[in-house]
Amino acid sequence: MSGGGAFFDQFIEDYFSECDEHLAAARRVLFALESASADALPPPPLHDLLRSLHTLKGLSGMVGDACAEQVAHALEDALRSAERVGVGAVTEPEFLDALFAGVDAIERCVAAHRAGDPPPDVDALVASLARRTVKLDAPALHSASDDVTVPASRPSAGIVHRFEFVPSMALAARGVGVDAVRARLRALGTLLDAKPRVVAGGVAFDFWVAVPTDVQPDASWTDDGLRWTIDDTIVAEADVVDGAGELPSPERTHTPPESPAAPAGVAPSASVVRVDLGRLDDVMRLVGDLVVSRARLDDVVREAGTTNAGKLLDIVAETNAAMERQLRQLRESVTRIRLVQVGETFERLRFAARDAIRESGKRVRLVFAGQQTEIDKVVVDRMLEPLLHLVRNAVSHGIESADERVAAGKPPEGVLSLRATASGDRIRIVVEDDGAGVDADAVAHRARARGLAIGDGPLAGDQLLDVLCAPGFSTRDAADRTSGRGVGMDVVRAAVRALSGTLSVESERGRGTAFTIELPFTLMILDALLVEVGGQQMAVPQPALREILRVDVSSIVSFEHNDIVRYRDGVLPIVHLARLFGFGTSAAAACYLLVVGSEAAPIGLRVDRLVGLREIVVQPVADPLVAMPGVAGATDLGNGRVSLILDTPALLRLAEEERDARAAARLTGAAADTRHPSHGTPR
Amino acid sequence: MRTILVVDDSPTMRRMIMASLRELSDVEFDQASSGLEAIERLAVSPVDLVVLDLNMPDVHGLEVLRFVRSHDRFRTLPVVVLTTRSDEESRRTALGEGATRYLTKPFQPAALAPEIRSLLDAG
Repeated sequence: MSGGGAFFDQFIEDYFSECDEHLAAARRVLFALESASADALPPPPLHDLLRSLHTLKGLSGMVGDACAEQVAHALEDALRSAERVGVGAVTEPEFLDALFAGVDAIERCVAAHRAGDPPPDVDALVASLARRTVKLDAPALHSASDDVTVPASRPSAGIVHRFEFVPSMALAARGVGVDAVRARLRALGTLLDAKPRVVAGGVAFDFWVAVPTDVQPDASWTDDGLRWTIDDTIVAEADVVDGAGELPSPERTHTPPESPAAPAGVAPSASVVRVDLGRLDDVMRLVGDLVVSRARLDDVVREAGTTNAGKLLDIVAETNAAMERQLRQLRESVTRIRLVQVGETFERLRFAARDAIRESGKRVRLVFAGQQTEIDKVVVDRMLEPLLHLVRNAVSHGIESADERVAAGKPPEGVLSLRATASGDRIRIVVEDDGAGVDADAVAHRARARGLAIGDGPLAGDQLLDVLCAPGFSTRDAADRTSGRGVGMDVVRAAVRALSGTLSVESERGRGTAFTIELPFTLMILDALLVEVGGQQMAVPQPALREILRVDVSSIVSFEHNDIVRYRDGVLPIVHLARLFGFGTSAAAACYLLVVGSEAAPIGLRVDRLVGLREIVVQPVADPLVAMPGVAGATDLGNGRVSLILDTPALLRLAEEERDARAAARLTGAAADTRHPSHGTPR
Repeated sequence: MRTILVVDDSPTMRRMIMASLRELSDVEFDQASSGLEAIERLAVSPVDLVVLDLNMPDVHGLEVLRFVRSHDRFRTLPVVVLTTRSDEESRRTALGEGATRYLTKPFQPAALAPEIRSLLDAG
């Protein structure tokens, strides 16, 4: 323990985020080791993994996470020891399992520390790792893996160049430093060695890089203080003569001019800045405030326009327009900073799936697509648990055993695919397996046995999902396992809904199951249509709108307590918002219908008047008196008025539940009450 | 104003070290995330003391130490090794290569500053 507990609390978020990075890096190396082991190839270099473990150990010690420190320490020792024994010891399957278990344990330790939970019991694991650690006479301060050495697998073709870099203040000011140069050289070929050297008046760095024959540095390299020669004392492969003609002249020497040019070609890793999410939130809030201020300016300009203030007003209006554009760009830039690629989350899922696969004894291949899809860090972090759940469920309950699959005429190996795609302001993540599919009849049978209200027809789509996600249904028992799904699905759906997302399911018996999660890729600022309902302004997120219709009130038909209107080839059910929220109803002869929902099942939200499009900042409604179904949050319109933001997915659900309640009431012959009492909807 | 070069491949660890030394007056910090970068910083800007981690990418802390000690300009530069390696062998090796002090992580924030202060004052 550091004894500096409270002092180091200020770094706890840094600690968690650096742990995330090192754990992700460690997982990548473990998978590379595993596939090298499977294909009997030489293992990848271990220095990065060792360094990750070493850093995890050091940082965990500083923040008093003794659990993570202990496991990282045991893992590092075991790995160093195995490395000294020989390559075979590292890729031995049992040892690999121990490594996987160790990294998993560190992750659990860190998660427990983060949640303030008691740490997991890691004693047995640490003891088993210690048994694998061969005690050597003297601890090597500087093990083989700490060096950059000629890798075991030499570059297939290429020439070894010796690059010389002389750092200077001027180059450093341009962001050209030795780390950036090293990153650039790594992108060029295989970095074989790096050594500092004292030269007159300072230091020079020599890098030996095996460069493919078809690649050569361009002139910008000399601008960045690099000189290069062929080092023919080292031969990467026999092919040197063939490539010699393509090389820059060995005698060529350059004096780096003091060019103001940006450091070209610096590898991305050198330009990554880690930003605390809290600080980004501050920036987002400021952007939000700016949006509100500009909206106020907008109102003033509009009002002043009616007083004919002339040229001065034109200038203000122009400035206002420019500000709007700049704000939009600023908003987009800030939003982009928050985005991370979903691929990293997929890698973590691969890790969890590996455990589930081994436990189940099944053969499952994981397939990823769309790893580059970007999503808000906050959103993706909160989606990790639900996705883990879906992946584990798919492995344990979805995909069949190899024998069952062969008997069903399928290949013995099941496929679990994770796909991410972005469309507009939403991101879609699909978790699909080619397993047995949900046994809808068994699910329906069990649902009825438990007294869940379902119709007589076959269960599918949303209704199937409703049953799978019913809290009473989602228990871990044998019947659930054989029915194909249903473990913790209520938790999954709740997490998705909490992020204004939607969860859907498609399943075909014998063919497999696909769960689709749709999420907003960011949550803070939205384009919305402001509307007036019973004298109140409300905001509807623009991406939710399919169409806006202006209809005569006389064309609305009331049919068994349902308001409907002719729409395309059928009818459009209407949700009368004023009635739903208990506002006064308008006496106007015409109204507007905002068409939302899916193409197959749209609904029309009835409003009195359209006010206009606005950028709005979403503030969650914290006041329980204000919180109500159908309302996603509130927004400050900048004129001191607060407008409620409609939650269209919730309204769609409400409409559907009402329809079902009425249908049920019709069947029982009871008077069709218009609303399910449990909603607590104000009237 | 004196400059302390903090060398560690973990950005969080560098921040922790700098925060622990914040109480020292008249001190500013320079940072390096690798052994190569440490040598570069030493070459291009004046440094009065180095806090050096050992396990780092490409060029190990011990190599940095050897390099520094082989260079006339840095022969007397105080280098404080701050590492998670707490065994006696590692300590002896580092001190033998010319480390001025050998401290281990986890460290007490309140104990680090006086140690560094005394070295700065002695220089």
